[in-house]
Amino acid sequence: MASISIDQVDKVYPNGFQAIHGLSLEVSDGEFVVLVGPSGCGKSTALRMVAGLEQITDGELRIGERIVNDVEPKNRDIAMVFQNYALYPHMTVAENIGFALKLAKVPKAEVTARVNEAAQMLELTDQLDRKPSQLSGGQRQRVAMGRAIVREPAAFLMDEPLSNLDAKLRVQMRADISRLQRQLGITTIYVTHDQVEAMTMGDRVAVLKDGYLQQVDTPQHLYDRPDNVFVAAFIGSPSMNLFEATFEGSGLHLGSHRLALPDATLERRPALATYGGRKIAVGIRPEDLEDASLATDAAEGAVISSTVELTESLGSEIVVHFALDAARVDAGNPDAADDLSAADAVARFDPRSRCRAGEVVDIAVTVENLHFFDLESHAAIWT
Amino acid sequence: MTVLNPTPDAAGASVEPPSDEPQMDRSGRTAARRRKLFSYAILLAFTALYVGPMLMLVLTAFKSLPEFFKNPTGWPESFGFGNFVEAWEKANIARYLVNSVLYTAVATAICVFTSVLVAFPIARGYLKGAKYILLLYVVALFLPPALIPQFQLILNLGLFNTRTGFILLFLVNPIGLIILVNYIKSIPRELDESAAVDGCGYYRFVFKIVMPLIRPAIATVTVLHAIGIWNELVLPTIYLTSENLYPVTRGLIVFEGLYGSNWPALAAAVLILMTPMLVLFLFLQRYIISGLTAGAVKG
Ligand SMILES: Nc1ncnc2c1ncn2[C@@H]1O[C@H](COP(=O)(O)OP(=O)(O)OP(=O)(O)O)[C@@H](O)[C@H]1O
Ligand SMILES: [Mg+2]
Repeated sequence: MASISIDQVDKVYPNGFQAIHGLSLEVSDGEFVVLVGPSGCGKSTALRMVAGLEQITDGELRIGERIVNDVEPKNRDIAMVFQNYALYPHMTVAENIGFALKLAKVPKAEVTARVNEAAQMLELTDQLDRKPSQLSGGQRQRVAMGRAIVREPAAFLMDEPLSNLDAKLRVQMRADISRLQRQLGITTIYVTHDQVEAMTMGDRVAVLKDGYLQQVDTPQHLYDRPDNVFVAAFIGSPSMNLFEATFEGSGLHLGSHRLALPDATLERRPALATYGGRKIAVGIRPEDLEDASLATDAAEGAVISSTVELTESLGSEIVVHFALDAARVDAGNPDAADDLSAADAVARFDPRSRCRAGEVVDIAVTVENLHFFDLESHAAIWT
Repeated sequence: MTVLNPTPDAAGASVEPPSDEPQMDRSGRTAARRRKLFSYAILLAFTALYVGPMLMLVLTAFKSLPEFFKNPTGWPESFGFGNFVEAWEKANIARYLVNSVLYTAVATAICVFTSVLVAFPIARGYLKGAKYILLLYVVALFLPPALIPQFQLILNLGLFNTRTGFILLFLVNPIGLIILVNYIKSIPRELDESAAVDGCGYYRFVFKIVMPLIRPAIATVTVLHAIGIWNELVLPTIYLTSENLYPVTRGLIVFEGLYGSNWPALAAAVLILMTPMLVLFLFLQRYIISGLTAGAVKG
């Protein structure tokens, strides 16, 4: 077991494209860190550099105390799980799981014992004699996991290991992998483009965009205090509503609406004062918007009224899309395929709400929870 | 080479229009039937084209020489094996067979083995300019055979009229290499990477993982190449002058008489010559179809 330390690492591909810019990330011993970001942001590139499958252009990579920039993959003491599982089609499950041990010249009896142990842990005992083509997707995924765990490596590297599974199985395997990792206590870097996976699995989550690290933090902290517009919009579902607004004295002009800001909020963010009369980006999480008729504790001057465009009832809540006449802020997520021109905000209402599409409703805003960002730099405004 | 041509049935599978499409209206159904009839007619014509000469060869092998001249295309009077015995003895088949087997087996084994070692890094781009190396092989396909320089080369190497020299002529097969390269491309690259992380060396990977996975392509190339050597008639007459080095094909020339050939004996000899390759093909057949269509390896 070991820590992984990535220090100011750059990756320039032979065609001149720079996929990673000065990435620094410390993964401590036994920690589960998730690398998340939209497609093409460089997650796989970063992981493959740690694995040794991709040359590091600049910077330093340590596994344990050892600098491993120029160490061969097989000598880095890591195990990798691939998106397509990379099982050997002509070998049985047992042979697949035991292959690395056989290569390491582990005695036959011990290989068998360790393969059986891993199979037991992953509930694959009955499948040991089958070929990968005779397995279900979930079973193949578990074989890939088994191949990694029998080796008892210093670190696991996983590149979207669940993205070939259907939604239900994914949820279950998510829990299984988390449990297994905790049980074994092996340092893990896990790559995904799914922010739900990132939030539920990671001890810490590193958000990447266009090869730049945006923020690394615990899932909750990432959610509560995003450093910039991109992270704010990327983490959380439905996404945070991001609109341009003008800050003025103690209030906010959001399109034709005006929201009063409580003094406590202003005191917590002293830097906000310097934005007087200027445009900023304001972020409102959908759960901070509630049907005003149900929000008994709505603050004075924190209610906007708008026309409901669409409601989606999920049972536990109602997702309400409503019109807002302020300009949307582009968070810069290439994967988010929404139309910026449609000035549309999303709220999560209590299921008791009676609002219908086409109606005008009063919406209470939890103003203490608003997020503020600089419109130019997209950085969060705090101090 | 007749054996390698797709059997009419196999060809039929691709020519036949998908007939189980639900076509409810009557006119649609008769049109479909007419199309089917038409494709069967074409298939029948092709079958005749392939089977006709084969049948003629077999029938001729059972006729006596006078009978052949009297009735070259008809049914033989009786089915005796006299021609086969004569062919076996006159063409020295027993003796030359050893040479043919040796040349074919050794050259095919070396060619296939080295081709896999070349095809893998080319398919993966693991060496610089892999694309251009492959291009060289493609170009080689279109070049006319370089008989004179090749002859000079063998001569200068002191390998004229030797087994080594003759085998040397058959060590490269561009089509075979291209088939292998394309098939290897269907193996997911993650297998290479996973193996690299797990500590599997390059050669071990090629022999233990790649070779078993490309068995269909290897079978295809083996049959293609072996048949090519086995049936080669021109090169043995050029490069081999000692009788004890002759392959079977070279022996057939005895039936070319000054005053006309002994066709029935020649036909019998050809049938004998064909048999080993036919057996090889049947043996490897179950791999070959998928080798030619280059299926993906399921993960
Ligand atoms: N071999 C390569 N040569 C040049 N550019 C590459 C190469 N591999 C990847 N890239 C580029 O580097 C960027 C990052 O790629 P990477 O595969 O790391 O993305 P990713 O975050 O894993 O995306 P995804 O979620 O789609 O897997 C992409 O823009 C990609 O086009
Ligand atoms: Mg990727």
